[in-house]
Amino acid sequence: MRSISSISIATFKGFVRDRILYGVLLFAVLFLGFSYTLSMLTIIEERKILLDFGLSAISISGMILGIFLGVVSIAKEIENRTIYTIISKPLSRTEYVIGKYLGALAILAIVHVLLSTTLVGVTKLLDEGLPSGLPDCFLLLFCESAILLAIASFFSVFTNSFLAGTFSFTIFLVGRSNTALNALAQKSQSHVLSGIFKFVYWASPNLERFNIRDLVAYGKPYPHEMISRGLIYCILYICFSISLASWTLSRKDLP
Amino acid sequence: MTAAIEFLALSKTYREGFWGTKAQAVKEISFTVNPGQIFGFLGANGAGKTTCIKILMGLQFATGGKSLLFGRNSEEKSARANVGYLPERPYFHENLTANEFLNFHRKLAKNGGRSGKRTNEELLKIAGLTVTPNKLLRSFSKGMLQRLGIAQTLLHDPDLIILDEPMSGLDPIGRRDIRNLILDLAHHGKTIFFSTHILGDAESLCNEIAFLEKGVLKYTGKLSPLLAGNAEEIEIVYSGEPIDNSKKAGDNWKINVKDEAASKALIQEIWRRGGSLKSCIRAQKNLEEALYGGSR
Repeated sequence: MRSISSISIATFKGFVRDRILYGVLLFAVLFLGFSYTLSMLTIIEERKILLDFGLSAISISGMILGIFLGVVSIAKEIENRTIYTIISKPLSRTEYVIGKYLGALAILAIVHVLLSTTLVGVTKLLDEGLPSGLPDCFLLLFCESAILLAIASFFSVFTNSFLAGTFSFTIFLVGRSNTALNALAQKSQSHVLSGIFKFVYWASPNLERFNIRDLVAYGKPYPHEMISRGLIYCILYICFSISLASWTLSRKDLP
Repeated sequence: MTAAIEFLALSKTYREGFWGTKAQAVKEISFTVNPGQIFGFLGANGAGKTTCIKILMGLQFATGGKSLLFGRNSEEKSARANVGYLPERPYFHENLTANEFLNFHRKLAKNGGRSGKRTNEELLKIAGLTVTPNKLLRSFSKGMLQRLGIAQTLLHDPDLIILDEPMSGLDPIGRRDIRNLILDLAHHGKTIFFSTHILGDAESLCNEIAFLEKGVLKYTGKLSPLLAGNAEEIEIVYSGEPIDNSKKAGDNWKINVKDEAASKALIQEIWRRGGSLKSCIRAQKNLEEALYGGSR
């Protein structure tokens, strides 16, 4: 347990000083500023425009950061051989993977809190009230990033950082099109194509479970069990991905 | 007495290329490193030294045989608790400071039940690193990282220190400092196991060596019998004109003769031809000649 916390803290400190993290933060803040400017230019529905764009900014930044942190935390560490002096200490590779994941997750959580607070602050500048579902939406956006972080961590234990990033981004796109994939599987005339669509549908994470952005921005109702189910799905998916990452790394020869 | 390191018919096979062709990196290596020794692990680049060390440190897995650290299988994480390890060309987290890096590794090492008494400042001083401990590692040179890596191996005061090519990337002063540090650690009862392809380093430091060639163990044991060569042979260096099989040695000539009687005759011949005697010593092979053949 102490090994996990030591690795998490070192990972956290390392990322806090990473310039790319601040690049992503700057992008998100500029996007939020753009959302505010755009909402000021519209005559009606200012809040909806701001929240729509603002939540998209958090979603995109969370996706970029989740993948980046997952890839850098393990794949880069294997490529740069910084992993050698850590793994050669009396600790297991499972402890290493969990420690790396938790350190990166802490960074992800802080960035989400910062961006969410900024969006809330900017929305209040418009002198309008906040929709009641906003905290739920923030939570689900964080869950989505946390899943992407776990997926990127899994890919990064057995491939290089470029491929791990590419695979993770592909999973993100597929995960966001999960319902469409299911519909394609149902409608496809070919058994082979239907089978492929079904496999991809089941193998990829259903990230649409975490998308209530439009409903919240436009003040529409959404089923509240989406939150509890989303949380359980998120925790299970992370546990599965990290277990798989740990199992794979435990059998891998470090180059 | 439990050996510090034991390789028991250790083998490692890799799969290479697109088709996964098998390549043997190390073939059934067996030798023992006893406590308190400075043990040199020698061989050319690609001989399999680093592979063996990686297996020993749990970074890779043997495909045959096994390796032991103080009698315990090195694949067990607890077997590595009493070992300090410096990898070849070490890279560390560039966004941490030297202090944070050492504290992080200290905590990891401490989980194995061992904690050193030396402070970070003392360790950096021992490793010859005169730098502020709060400087980020991204600003460190290769030599500074090497020294920091050595400080990291001593954090938990381990009984066994494994150094993979510790002199690489160091200037002559750095190499001298590391040699002195190895001697000092051995003086304090530590076992040092280091790999090198620079035979002079091993010759000046080691009690025993193991020599690998293309993944096969060619020699293991003490240095003295290896270097003794032909004890009867005498090496004569002189200036003047070449005689018989003499070889050029700088501005002088060098010739080996089989015994003292032959050396007396040769010296007289040198003087008769107006030459000048520079040295006359009992011939001893250097490690390069002993391992790779050839003569002085």
